[in-house]
Amino acid sequence: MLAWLREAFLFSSSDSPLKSLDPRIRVLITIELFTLAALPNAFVKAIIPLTIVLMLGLAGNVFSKLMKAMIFAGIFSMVIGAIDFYVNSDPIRALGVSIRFLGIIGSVSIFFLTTSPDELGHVMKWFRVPRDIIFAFVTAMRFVPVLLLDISQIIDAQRSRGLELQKGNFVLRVNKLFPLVVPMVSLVLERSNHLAEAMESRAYGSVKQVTAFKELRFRSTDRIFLAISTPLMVLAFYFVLAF
Amino acid sequence: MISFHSVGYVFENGCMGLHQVTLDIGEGVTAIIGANGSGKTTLVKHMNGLLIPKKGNVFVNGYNTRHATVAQLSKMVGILFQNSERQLFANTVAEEISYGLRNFGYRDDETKTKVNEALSFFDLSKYRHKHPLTLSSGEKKRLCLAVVLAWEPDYLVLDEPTIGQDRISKERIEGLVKFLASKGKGVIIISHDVEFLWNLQPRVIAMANGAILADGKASIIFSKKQIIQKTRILKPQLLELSTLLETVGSPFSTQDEAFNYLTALLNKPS
Repeated sequence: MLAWLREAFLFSSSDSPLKSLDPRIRVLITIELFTLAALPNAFVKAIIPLTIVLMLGLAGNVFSKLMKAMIFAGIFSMVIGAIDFYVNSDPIRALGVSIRFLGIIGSVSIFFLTTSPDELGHVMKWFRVPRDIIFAFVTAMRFVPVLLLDISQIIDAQRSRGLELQKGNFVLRVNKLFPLVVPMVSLVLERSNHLAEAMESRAYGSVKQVTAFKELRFRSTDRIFLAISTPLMVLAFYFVLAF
Repeated sequence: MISFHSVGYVFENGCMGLHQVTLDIGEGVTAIIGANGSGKTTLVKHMNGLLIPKKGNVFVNGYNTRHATVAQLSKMVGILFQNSERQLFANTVAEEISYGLRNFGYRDDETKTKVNEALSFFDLSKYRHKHPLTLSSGEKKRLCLAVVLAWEPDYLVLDEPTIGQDRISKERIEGLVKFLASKGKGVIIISHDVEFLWNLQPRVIAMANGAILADGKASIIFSKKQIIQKTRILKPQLLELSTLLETVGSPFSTQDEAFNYLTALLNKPS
């Protein structure tokens, strides 16, 4: 399950047209798609952002991973749709709400699937976010796979001590999480302390303005992509808002 | 007996875990060696059902791991993972040991007795009310061993037990392994520490790319150049010395034999 989630939401390096674009363009597309999906739409219009997300999944060579994210989001999407149906008794509207939710999750997922933590750091720097915040955010992103691995090791160890998470009522199952949560929290604190010491040993924070190993630069392919995608996006917004 | 019958395992990302593994592990000490990623941990995770084979079957004391829960199998096969200190969570050392026993359904009085036995065996009685995370590294390692051995499994799997341990702690672990083997238990050790393994003179299973490369006595396996290269380990120093001296005399495999041989060599008139 954890391996499945890691596949569904985390960046993995591979070549694709979308990944070769400037990360700022991916930020822009994500914001556009997120907004488009979040707008209150009818069922038909809600399909537009979801379709674009799926097409970008193909262009980003992450379609199978995106589908995993969609299946995961689909569970919550169905719950949201069911609640909407319970409140409004309109099945078409409820379906629209569910699809909108999938579009929102898909737009965010496509960004994280195609953007490495390093690229995210560059984008944040370009937006003039303070360095400490960038470092904390990027480090947190980088450590997600490590933490997932840690969780899986702790689960294996506790299962080998007779822990059976699937058995018992809800309260009992919540109590059974205790032997997983305590070592995890302790491990995270220990790891963050080690990281802080390691960074201090490498003179982190000793100068205010640091130089960058790599700077973001717009290339001709980025300009061409923007020239094509911007009118299409405007058209999509117009269709969703005007009709 | 733990039996692997043509076991194959492939990870979700398509990586080969195990390929056509067939072997029997009984009582006594068995060492599993191999380079990183050779399938050692994958192999032992099949022993208590944490992993279920994609092909073939694994039997533990006659039970097919496909039809038993991890808890049922863990009662027979206790596994002490690498970085086992990370599983500690209870408020006191005694509670930590009792956790597994309670999960396995031992009665309160039995649990109390077994906790006391484990505490005294591992010299942890004075820490019984202390928080596990406040113990030193060596004490934590002992506690983790106590945690697993408290329910007296038939087989104990130790994944890299000597990493980060000083000489005294290593000797303690070595003594414990010998003691358990003498009591008829099966002890399976995954390790890159050849000196530690050499002292135990176990049966050695060498692995590479998820398959069994060789299986035999330590003195034979460690003397094969090809296995040493493929498993990326160092030859035990005693064996290395023996190999170097082969041209001037007969090789030796134990410390006593080496001592006698070298003494005789030094006393020989030139």
